[in-house]
Amino acid sequence: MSAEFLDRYSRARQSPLHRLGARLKLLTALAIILLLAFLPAGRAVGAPVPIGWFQLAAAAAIFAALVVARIPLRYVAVRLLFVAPLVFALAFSIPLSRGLGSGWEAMIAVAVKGILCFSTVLLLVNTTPFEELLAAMTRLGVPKLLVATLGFMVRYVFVLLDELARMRRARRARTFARRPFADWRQAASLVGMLVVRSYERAERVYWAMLARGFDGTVRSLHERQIATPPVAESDD
Amino acid sequence: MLYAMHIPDGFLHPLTALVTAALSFGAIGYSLRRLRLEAGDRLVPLVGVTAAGIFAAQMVNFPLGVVPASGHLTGGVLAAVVLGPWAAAVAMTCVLIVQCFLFGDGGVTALGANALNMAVIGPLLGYSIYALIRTFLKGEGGRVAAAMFSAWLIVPISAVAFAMELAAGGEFRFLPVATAMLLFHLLIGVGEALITGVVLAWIVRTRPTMLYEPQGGTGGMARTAQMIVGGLALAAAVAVLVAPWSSNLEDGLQAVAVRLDFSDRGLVAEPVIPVPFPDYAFSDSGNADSAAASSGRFWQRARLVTAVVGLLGTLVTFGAAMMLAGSVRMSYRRSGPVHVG
Repeated sequence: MSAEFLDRYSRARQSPLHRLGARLKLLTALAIILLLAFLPAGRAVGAPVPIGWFQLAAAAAIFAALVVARIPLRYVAVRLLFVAPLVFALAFSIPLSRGLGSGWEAMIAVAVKGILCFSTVLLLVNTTPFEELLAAMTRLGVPKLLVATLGFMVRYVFVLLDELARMRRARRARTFARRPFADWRQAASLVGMLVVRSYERAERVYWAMLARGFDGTVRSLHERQIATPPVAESDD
Repeated sequence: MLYAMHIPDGFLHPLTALVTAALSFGAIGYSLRRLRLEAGDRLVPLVGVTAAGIFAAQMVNFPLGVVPASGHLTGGVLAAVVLGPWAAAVAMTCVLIVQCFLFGDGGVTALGANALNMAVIGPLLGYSIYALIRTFLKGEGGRVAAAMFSAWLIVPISAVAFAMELAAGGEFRFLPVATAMLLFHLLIGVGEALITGVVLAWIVRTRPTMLYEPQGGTGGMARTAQMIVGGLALAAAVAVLVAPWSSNLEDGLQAVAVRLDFSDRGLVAEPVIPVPFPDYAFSDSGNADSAAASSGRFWQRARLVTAVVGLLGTLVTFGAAMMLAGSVRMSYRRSGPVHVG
């Protein structure tokens, strides 16, 4: 899975949803997730499974939003395929913990909640570039220090994942073992190198920032005036 | 396995989510403040880039060989030993946030609980345990051993916390989930300890100066606090994790009493001072050896009761010991060292 798989459509598409302000999208997504997660599921009339009207409405809304945002449903299906089994597996421990006698309805209700909330996050992340999400978080009160650190992390995650791939390729080219990491020592040195290299890279990055006039305040091109109304045109 | 996946949305009771979020918020906020004091404006690039490194490192798989599965490093304790507790806590929080939003691994409403399990318990409590052991084991070998033990212990502790968070909502039954996760993670912890040990040994061999050392100013008071927290955690962990499974056979004195046939003499008299938890049980749920113990649910309840009572006993003993130590130290200070002769 290449790293841009995660939010490739946040930049690759243009749609009314993409043009909405990041703060509005973040708050709406949070509101939907809160309601979905914490309201009791209820049961829609005639439904064989405990899915309430609110969840059905939310599912329909998310689906509609995905279509409007022109995010390929195949992509959504692939992402769901990764996440849904894990959610169901964890939900399965509800009836499992009760001796398989009861708890099946709770399992379905909880799993549906989890999957719907994930879909909401997926929608949010694929209609908003992550840096804009971070800027929105700052304006909503998340500590600036944490947001700046997150920004650095996301930027360098891709760099380091590439480095990891390079190290793996180099290993494979130099090893005669059938499986590249049959030896724990090799895997351990890989992890060690990752940690050490990232630490030293961090030092170099810091010195480079100092050399360019860093004074402790992290500034970003994505910050806008405080008085911007929540619905705004994207300015890049 | 279950624990390795973070808690998604919808699994937690709103109150649980709120409480865990408040706890995590406090702990991470404090870590940010301490980190700003220690690292200054190096903080952002340092923690950001190394968080990216931890994130990448969590993807390296360590094949289990016999089983067609592989282990992965969580890295809370390793990060704390290498970067220091505060940087590690913030870094793990960043990893969790990225995993939540970009991977859907973990729910937004569950960030508080997940952060508690992996960014607070791992780095902060893990570092305390590590620091506690380090006071007895100096040297680089001791560092690796202390880190390995701490890494091993943290895994079941986090797993129990995970089970408690899920069960606090009422849908999951606590005891079966907790027992299963505990047994499973006592084993998983071995893997985490081994990986932590091997990686740390590698770093010690190649870049020993990179490792975190508490600065001079954090000696004295902070070290005492670390020892207290670490020691308390150890005792509590033993009480909760080990005691309930300890043998129910009679101990030495009781066995001798039965053998020599004077066991009934002690039972005749009522205890002189009424005690709250006779025989390590809640008085109304009865003795674990009673006839009803054959029922499975009763064994489970007995175990839970033992664990809770053990924990309470540990805390009370600890509090009494602290008070005693405090009073001895105060009197020493008042009268000065005792001169002999």
